[in-house]
Amino acid sequence: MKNHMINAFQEPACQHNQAQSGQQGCAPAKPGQSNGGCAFDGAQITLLPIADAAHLVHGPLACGGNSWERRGSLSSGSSLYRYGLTTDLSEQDIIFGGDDKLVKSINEIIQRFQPPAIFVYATCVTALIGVDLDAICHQASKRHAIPIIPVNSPGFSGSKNSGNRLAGQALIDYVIGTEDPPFQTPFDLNFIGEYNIAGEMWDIEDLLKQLGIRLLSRITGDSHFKEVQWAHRAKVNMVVCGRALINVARHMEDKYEIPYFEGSFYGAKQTSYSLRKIARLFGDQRLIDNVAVFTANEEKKIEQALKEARKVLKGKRALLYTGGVKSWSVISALQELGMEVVGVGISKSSQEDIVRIKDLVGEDALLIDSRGARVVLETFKKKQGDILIAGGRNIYVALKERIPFLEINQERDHAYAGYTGFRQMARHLVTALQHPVWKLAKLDPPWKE
Amino acid sequence: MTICFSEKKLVINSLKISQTVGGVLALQGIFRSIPILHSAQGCAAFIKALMTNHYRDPVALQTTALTELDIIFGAEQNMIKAIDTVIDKNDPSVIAVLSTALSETVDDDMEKNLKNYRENDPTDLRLIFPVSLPDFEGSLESGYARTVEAFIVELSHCILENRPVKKQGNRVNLIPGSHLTSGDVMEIKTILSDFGLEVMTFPDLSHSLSATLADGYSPLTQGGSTLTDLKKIASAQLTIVVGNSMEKAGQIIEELHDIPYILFDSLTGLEKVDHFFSWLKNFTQSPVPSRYQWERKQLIDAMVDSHFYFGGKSYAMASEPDHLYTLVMFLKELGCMPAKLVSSYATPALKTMEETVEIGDLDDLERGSDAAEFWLSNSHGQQGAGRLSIPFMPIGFPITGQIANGYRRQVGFRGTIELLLAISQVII
Repeated sequence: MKNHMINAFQEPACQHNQAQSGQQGCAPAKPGQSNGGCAFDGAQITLLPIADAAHLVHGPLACGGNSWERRGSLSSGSSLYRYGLTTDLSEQDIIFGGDDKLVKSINEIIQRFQPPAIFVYATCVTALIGVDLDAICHQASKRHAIPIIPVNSPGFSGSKNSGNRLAGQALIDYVIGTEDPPFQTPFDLNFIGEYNIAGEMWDIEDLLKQLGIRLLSRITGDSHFKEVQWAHRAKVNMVVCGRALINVARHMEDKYEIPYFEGSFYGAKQTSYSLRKIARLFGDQRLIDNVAVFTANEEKKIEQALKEARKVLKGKRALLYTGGVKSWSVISALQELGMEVVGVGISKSSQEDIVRIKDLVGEDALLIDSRGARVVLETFKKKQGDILIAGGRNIYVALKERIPFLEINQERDHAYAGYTGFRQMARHLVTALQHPVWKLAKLDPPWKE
Repeated sequence: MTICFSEKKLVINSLKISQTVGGVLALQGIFRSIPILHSAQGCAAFIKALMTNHYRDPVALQTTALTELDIIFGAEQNMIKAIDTVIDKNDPSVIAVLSTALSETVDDDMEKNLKNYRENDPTDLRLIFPVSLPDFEGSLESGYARTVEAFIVELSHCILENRPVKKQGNRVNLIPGSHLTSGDVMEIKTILSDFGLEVMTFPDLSHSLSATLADGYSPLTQGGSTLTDLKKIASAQLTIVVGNSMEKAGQIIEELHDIPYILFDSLTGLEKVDHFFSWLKNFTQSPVPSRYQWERKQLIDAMVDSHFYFGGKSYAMASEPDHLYTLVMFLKELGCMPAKLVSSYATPALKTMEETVEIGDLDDLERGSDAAEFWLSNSHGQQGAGRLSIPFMPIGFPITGQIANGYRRQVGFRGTIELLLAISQVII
């Protein structure tokens, strides 16, 4: 386990690991003032969208039992990933090590579901009692002749972000490069760190199809296990969501010489930019020209479609509280709609994200470097915000304060990526701001003295 | 013996929900309180997300944020830091420190550590107490019950210092079980007050996790009973306990304060509600208000009108023990028969049932329910019901994809009618 962790946290492309303050990895959570998820959560988010694999949580009930069916990642194929599988350790299991239960649970999964692979997640308790997950998975893998992959990312080892990275390490160590695709095309592309929230990747895949680009491997939204195995055969990698899986992209660059870039599909500008960048990395002039024409057309269309929304949104003041790539890419989308971003949460952003944020918002916007609802609300009031844009955790904080809200993180039910998603985002922003409930909810009862 | 156990080693689609969720839920019914999970940060984040999704309200919850190193060097310091931080930032009236599988595995002695902590500042009057809630025992229901029991014991320490207490003629305590919603608790309180009773409720979810007492956002609970009110529990004539799992809480009050208790195992369905009202009539010597007599007629009318649809229907159901018991009894009145019943853990009350109940997961329910004509379980059961193409109605916790879960009622004549209507929407 230790080796995986050291690899993940020496990742040179991660700003959190830089020499500043000699810190390794993300800052630890503080007792009594912590709101984030754990490393196990992060690992599960990253790998769970591999839809035809079985995902087994080896631990006490709460780890798997309180967390399954929570994310909005959609699958067009298998639905095995929607099963919540856990060993639900009893007190006896914990005393005697739990190995026997894990082995039997793996057997039961294979008998029942015949999955192409099983991911087995360590948890705090199994790490604490010294379960040798690597050895058990290795033996079971040999016995059953399918990949059974240990994911050594127990919750207490770090933040959600560190878990994303450890999951990436598991893909590097056990999955990528172990299979070949049935055929290859000149324009094979991988997405890394795209989770198909509310099916938004399908909108992007549709654009790519129109341009003759094939999505070879989706890591990991709407993927099947095999396609992740053959990801090393792609010609270009795009890192979509933040830098959490940057280790996977860098590994493929080092080992297979696949170039990568980090981009986003939020907003028309970012979408066009990413498509053009993909074409440039493929290095094919015809593709580059096609994409240029295509994106210009799409932008013209959306310009027309957004006219009405822009009238409402112009000058509206938004506070954005999210993490990773979204913290800058959503800013640029909001600005495209004529909105002003008056505050940005940066506690979950990398140094590079922060540089981009500063470039986009200018001097007047407040950067919020701490976590917790209270700071967000204070900033919102100070900057006289009109709408809060954040993750699910903060919805009801905003609603209790009667503040219009747009949900942006992984739990949401709406697709916002690409040109189609951008139109939907604009529509939802307009609805949120103009809704009659904000006036009604502020009315005092007429009989109040 | 009518309980059997799943034969699988593996849990597939867990019905069980960790005890800590029950503990967190119980605290939401006490004003200006906050539970602190003695755990890694993720344990609390999962619970927060799960409960926020169901209730669509902020949930007061913090964590000691244990890391691997903290466990090697002593989890106690994290607990102290967490309590200090929460007091410093939010000044709560009540703090419960809830153990988890992790803190139980490292054998952290919360009781001793908290005692030491309290001795540092004996002038601090807020309630701070530990509750042992390992994942490997019970489920949401038992976690809630244990937390209420621990709270009563802690509360009683500070009441007993001010003895003797004068009993108030019309004052009663109400202890609602974990299967009752905010709407249910409000309904029971309304009924009791319509009989002229003054009610001390705990935990009181009727104005928490929904519309709350205080406006705006706070990291602490914004609704629930106040500590000042709760200190009056010793002056009540009687404690009304709703749900078998809460009986021990009633017993503790009886032992500590010499107040008798009465247990109602269910307040749903004609016979159970009739029993409640006739008891109320005798206890208060007041007539049953005409509103309830009218609601009773409406319930019978709804039962008669719907009997064609419900009669002979078989159903699959999975829920926590008290909730399962309540609904099985009611569905019997509607003429429905269980195809399969699954619950999260074995309780004495389940053993008394005629029907066979399997202790297992939602997969066990799915595998025995081919013949069922409707399916009742939390939202995690929807995928299984879908695979069997059985009409699905969400009950219990968690419920996703619909609003006002906190307001849904199932108690009293009115609540029973609403429940009947909700099920009929699914099956007709």
